[in-house]
Amino acid sequence: MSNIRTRIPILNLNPRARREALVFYLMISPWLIGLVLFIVYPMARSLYLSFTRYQIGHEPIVTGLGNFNRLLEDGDFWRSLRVTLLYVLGSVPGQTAIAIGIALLLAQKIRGVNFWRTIYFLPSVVSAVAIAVLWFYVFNPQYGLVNTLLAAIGIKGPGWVFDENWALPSLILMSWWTVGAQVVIYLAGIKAIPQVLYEAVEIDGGGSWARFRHVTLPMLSPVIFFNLILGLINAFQVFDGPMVLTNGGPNKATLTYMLNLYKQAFDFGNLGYASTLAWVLFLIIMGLTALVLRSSALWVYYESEQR
Amino acid sequence: MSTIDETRRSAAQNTLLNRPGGLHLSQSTGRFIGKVFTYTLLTIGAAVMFFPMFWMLTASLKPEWQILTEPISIPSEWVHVQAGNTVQELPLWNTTNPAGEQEEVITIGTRRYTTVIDLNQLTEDMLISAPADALGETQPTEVGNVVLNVRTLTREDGSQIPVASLARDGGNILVAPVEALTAVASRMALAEVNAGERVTVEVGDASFKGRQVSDGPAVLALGPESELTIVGPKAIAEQAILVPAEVPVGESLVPIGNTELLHYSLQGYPADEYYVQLSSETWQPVIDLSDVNASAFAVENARLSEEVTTRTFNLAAMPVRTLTGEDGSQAEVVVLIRTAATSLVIPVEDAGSIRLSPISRLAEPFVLNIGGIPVRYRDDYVEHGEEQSVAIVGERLNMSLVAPQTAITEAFDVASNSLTRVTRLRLYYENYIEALSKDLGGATFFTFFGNSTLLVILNWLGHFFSVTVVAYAFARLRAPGKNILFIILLSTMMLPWPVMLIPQYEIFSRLKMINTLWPLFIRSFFGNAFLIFLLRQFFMGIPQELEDAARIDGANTLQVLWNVMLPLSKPALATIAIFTFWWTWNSFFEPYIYLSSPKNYTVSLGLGFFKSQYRYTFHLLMSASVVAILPIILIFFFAQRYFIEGIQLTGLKG
Amino acid sequence: MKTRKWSMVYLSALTVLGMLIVLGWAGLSPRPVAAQGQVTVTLGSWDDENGNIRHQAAINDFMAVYPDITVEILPNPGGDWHTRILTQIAAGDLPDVYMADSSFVPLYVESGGLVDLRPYIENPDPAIGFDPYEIFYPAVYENGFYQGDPYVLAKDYSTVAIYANKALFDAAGIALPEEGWTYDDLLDVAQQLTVDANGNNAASPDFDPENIVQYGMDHRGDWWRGFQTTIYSFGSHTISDDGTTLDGYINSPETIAALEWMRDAVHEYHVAPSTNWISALPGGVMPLFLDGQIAMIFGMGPWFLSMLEEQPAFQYAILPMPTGPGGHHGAVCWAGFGLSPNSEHPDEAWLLLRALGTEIGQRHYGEHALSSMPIIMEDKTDHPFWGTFIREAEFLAPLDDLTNPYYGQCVGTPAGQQITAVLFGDEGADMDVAELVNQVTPEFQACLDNQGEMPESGS
Repeated sequence: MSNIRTRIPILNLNPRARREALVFYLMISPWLIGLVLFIVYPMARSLYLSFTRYQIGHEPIVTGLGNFNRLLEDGDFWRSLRVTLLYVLGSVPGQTAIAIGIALLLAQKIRGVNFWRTIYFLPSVVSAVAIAVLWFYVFNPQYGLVNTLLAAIGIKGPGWVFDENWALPSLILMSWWTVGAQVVIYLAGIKAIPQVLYEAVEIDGGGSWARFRHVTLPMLSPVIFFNLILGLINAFQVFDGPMVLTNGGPNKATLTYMLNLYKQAFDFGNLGYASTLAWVLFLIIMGLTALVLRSSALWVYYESEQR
Repeated sequence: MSTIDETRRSAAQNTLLNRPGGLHLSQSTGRFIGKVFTYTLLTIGAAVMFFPMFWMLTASLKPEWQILTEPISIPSEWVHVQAGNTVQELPLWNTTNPAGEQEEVITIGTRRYTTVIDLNQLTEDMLISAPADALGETQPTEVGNVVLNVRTLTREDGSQIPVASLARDGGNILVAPVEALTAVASRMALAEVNAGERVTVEVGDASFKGRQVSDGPAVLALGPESELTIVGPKAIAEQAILVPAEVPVGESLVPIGNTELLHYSLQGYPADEYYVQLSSETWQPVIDLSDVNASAFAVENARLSEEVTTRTFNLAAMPVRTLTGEDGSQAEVVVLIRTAATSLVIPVEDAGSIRLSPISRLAEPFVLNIGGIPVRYRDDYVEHGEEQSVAIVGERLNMSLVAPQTAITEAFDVASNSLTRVTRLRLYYENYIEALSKDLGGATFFTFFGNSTLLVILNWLGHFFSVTVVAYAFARLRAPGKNILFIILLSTMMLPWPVMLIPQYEIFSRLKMINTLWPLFIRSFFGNAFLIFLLRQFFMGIPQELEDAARIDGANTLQVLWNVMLPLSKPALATIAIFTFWWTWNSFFEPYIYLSSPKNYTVSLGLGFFKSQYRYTFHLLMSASVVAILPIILIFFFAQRYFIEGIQLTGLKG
Repeated sequence: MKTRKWSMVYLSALTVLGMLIVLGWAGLSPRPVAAQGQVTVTLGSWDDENGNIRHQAAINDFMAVYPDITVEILPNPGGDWHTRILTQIAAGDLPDVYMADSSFVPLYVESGGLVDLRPYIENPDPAIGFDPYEIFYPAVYENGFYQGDPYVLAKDYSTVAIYANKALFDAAGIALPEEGWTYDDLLDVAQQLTVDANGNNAASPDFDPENIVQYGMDHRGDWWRGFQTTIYSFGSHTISDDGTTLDGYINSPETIAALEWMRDAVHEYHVAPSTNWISALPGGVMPLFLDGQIAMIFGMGPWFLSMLEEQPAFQYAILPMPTGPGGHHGAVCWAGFGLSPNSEHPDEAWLLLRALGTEIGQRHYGEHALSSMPIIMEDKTDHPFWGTFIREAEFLAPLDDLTNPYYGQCVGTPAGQQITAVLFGDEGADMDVAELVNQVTPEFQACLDNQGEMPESGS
């Protein structure tokens, strides 16, 4: 049995709480309006479009599950899903390890800390147009830096972004370079670890490894978790690198999910099918995030747990 | 109970167990080694991370060609020497002269040689058909006075003889013993060999595809090919003279060292004076654009005499006709450009600035309209180091740079592949000037800087307004539905952006905001999920007690936010500022979709001007990129301490 | 007190916002407020800044004739022009006149992004219409057709020919080939111009393919349009004339022979580097060509003339394409101007389009590419660079890309990546060409069929 009061929670509150709730909604109203205008409406429209055949310049025609059937038979869809998964598997763990490593180094008491931090942050701020030209030369089989260095020690380097088998690993390597934002977040996490914990380990005679293993890592696990989720989301949507550097090639070896989606929308002008792809990706990301959230209980250490 | 206690205990155990007895480094030594280790790692890491910036910096100071072919080298320029009193310059090369010294030289001639055998003297008994695996590696070897590709043939009886291969014979290779070949082999210029007619010569069962050299035998080129270049002291260039290509005649080959050089006599010069050719190129008559503007005019062809004479101005041959004026007066004019109906002419006495220029300085001219006649011109033409504006007129001419044979007595021959260009260090700082001052569709890079700065300020305003308010509500206020809303907030971070692009574009299009800066900042007034989340986390870290105290003093929510929370949140606000700056400054795709007039372009979009469909102007792209990332580097350098303090992820839980 | 401070902040924030909105509509609005009687039309250009200077010069001449019309160039800074056009078609925001690549014209037409130019061209008023067959090369003009109607007028175009490093030919004593030479001759010349580190050329039994210092030719990598010339010359097309069927065309014996010829040149005769070796440098293999590492490269591109001529003393020659078993046929690369259906000033936009497509614009565009007008090209037929490209135009075959709106996306680009780039890459050495082509054909066909029946447009 429920009456109208219990079904509409806000009416169920005492006046003070009701006022607080009103202030809450008033204060988040800019975000709520933005949400409806720039996210909910576009999402709803694209959800509708995902059930239509919608070519640019024409009216959408509802085709029911037609797009989803097409998706199952679409070689490029499966290919791009595979490429993206491989990319995620390669880039996210690497990025995490490198970012933690750099953050640990930068958290030390070092001279000229501003200088060092700025240098490590640099690769993340160079604009995409310039970065594309840069990597062209780093990975150029003939003139490139990597192969020149390899040749100096007598190894014939591969074709990197121009070789079907090496293009994706090249993109993964690239992603390891631009970890500036993650480093900053880890650094903040490390700085927030109470010094007493380290002192405790030191009193017990623990060395630097013990400090890392038994204090830094557990205390950092919520930050790792946070970065992991953001990293997963970003890696699943990887677009800039394959777009400006390889355009999906050679032979579709770097055709990532987003690139495939983008091509469907803006090369073929097939907005209906692109919307379907987008929604499928959204569901995949949501599902994976949920999985990671579930697993977090096993390895993420929360301060509040000890209370 | 306490995880930390456990941690401590196990840590103590581990370290006690792991520590080898007896090896006790003193604490200060340990720290020193730690320091060295830290700094070494830091430096190596920094070198890797700094590389992109370093590369951009060097590239931004290079000429365009050097970026293409020498990506990791010091910015430098090729050194040239002026040829006589012409505007042409000849490249200088490094080589070792016969005395064993390094010398800077110019090249005078090149000839490519190969080893041939006289097919008529080849006999069946010389030939052996051998499987490829019975033959050793190819080794170019000097045998007698020729070089042969010598291989070792292992015969079935196990004995080995040196052979050279002549032709493929199905799966086998047809070879002949080196000993037998020396008698029939000779060195011959490749030009001579390939000038001969193709012939097929049968020797026993084998047939060879050779060349019938004129006045000589049928030969088979065996290789290896080699190329010799004749070089000479750079002083030779001083004696160079420019003549029309048809003037050098009567070529003859004169030996120099191991090669030969073509000598010519010049038409109109004493027949016993010989010359060598330093270069041959296409030249183009040009005239000062100011002279064209001042004195040239268009006339109907009918008013020009049929009769045409050729007059030479500073070596440039130009057609001269007689112009009959409306009053019947007659004047001699130079025809600069002739179209079907009209001609652009200039009086002979005003044509003094007509001269020749190598076409390499006139590529991709622009077109100007004078009296209905299209005039090609370049306003950045460089002559003797000076930039000038010239119009391109008349017909192209093939010209040769020649030097008297007497000037090249010190010439010698070297292998072509041993020559390297002479370069000298040169920082092309002009790249920066050019990139920043270039007219890019009615705007310059400073316009883009202005737009980006405006956008950053607007986005800052938007984010400071919306993010603080929303984050406070999520951090402190209680309301039904808050948790669901917070999860929605977090999940908006994982939306694929192309889904929303088209509907968003439609919205902005309906609002008539396309090709304005509006779509690029208006959304910041409605918050940003990531920043709201960051600030909420920071707010949660601020003790509730401070807020309660203010409340007791009678402050309302906004006052609490303004007077208590924000002053304590400077680091978090700095973080928001930096992230906003970073995203706004580097965003490419959205400005690309939304902006079309250059006057509205942002910096990252403006960079795209230096990258076109067919061609990059790398040097400009790189110098513009360096300028473009400077603000971010500066801001990060000075604000990074706050930046890091501002990120509070403690107490983070699903 | 404090409350007042807060209301002040809110008030000022609102005021700023309000002012911005007013300012935005007045100052930042896309179309500048025009002077009395003045009409502004926009020109969408994908060219780089040099190209835009040319556009501006043409526009200046245009505005001198039509002083009531102001033209604004909307350039394309680096991104993907096609994306931009599709987005703008979707939102009805196209520039009044814009550049369109020939292979995308069918798609733009199908999407309602281009206006049929026939009513304008055939208008009896000489101030509006003109006789296209009198002033254009008919074949070039008709490249702007889709299903029998003109939608774009050429800005400029190029044929495909072979760039040769004349110094390498001279040193080897090889005469420059002339029109009528065959693919066999090409292979023969390429063999003589491919040299290993020991100085042995590719015809020699001592040739060492592992250490090549100079290659005879390139193979066009994933540039499908470039390779189409060879397919046409071997006697096939890649799609049926009606644009529906690939089977029997892209996998015909002639197409396969063409692919095998090039594959063998790379892997059996080693006269061309493998795809993996050639870096996809901007400008393609041009830097290697200028550096003397490749003696001949296939190129469209009078667009590269400046790169050639800016090299002092670099001696080049432009060779005609060889004749194949099916004759000598070429494929055109073509850029044009089209008219937006959303234009607020269609008549003025047409005047601009007409000016750019005819003499006013062609005088400028003809300066660095081929022009559609014989009158512009007549003094260039003997030019050492232009001559060959102009003569190649006589051999142009109808372009496969124009038969289907999705040819480029479904066949052209993927074929470059999945057929030629693979066959001429390291993996291609032992690959069965017919098997590979037959394997990808159904995929390409499915892509065409999926786009297939276009929903009826508004008309």
